[in-house]
Amino acid sequence: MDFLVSPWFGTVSLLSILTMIVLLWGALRACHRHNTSAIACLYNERACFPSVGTLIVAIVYVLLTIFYVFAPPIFHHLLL
Amino acid sequence: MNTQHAIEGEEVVLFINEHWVKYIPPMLLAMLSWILYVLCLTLSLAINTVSHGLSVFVIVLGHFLLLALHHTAFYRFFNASTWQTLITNRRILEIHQQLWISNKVSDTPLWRVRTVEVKQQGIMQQLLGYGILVLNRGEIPTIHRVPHPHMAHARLIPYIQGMQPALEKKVFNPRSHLPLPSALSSPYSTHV
Repeated sequence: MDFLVSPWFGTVSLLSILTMIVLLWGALRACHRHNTSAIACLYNERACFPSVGTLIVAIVYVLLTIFYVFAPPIFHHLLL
Repeated sequence: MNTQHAIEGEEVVLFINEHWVKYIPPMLLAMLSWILYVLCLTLSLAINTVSHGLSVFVIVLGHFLLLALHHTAFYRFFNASTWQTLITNRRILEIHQQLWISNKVSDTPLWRVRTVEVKQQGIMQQLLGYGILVLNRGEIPTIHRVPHPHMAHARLIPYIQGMQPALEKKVFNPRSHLPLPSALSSPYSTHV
């Protein structure tokens, strides 16, 4: 099970973190675009974005991705 | 209200935040990605003593599946959370974004809307209480996954009729001897 801590898994993990950053950056851009749109300006009480639910999901996404990155070394330690 | 985007005398009639059912596919995809990962890990451990090469292949496959499906699921979730529709007494505003790919904002004047149909098809839509609003028989973009579509329809109809003064004179003038078109008597659609 030594391959779980190999550089190959490190590269995939790095790729995953980069994907997450790009995705969250895109979500932030979408937020900005949404909040300057006519919908948000006309009905700001409920149409603001991100909503609390979206924010919670974003936090879960970050935590799961971090877990995904650290999963191979954790399994390596658990299995040996 | 920000006057930069508002038309004079514009009032909000209906705000449609699509039904939460839109989040089910991304959630299922996220769950599936982790279930597949755990399955691949378990299988890899089980066959490790038999074939080391196959064991490595299975866990690498699991990792790739997780990488692809996990990020796709959250990408779809963030996309879905931006889809909203606002109907004012003047226009229909829609925003539909796909992160890094597309950004669609439509602004349809309310006077262009002549017919509104409510469609609730299938058990899921009936049980969870959502449906679609078809405008002008599909000429104008349809509003999908509307929660309580019949209530939305009832709220919207007076404003659409108000935008059709010629029709109001014909249909609602009590001195008029013109018969009411049969389609108008339907509670779910209004034809002008």
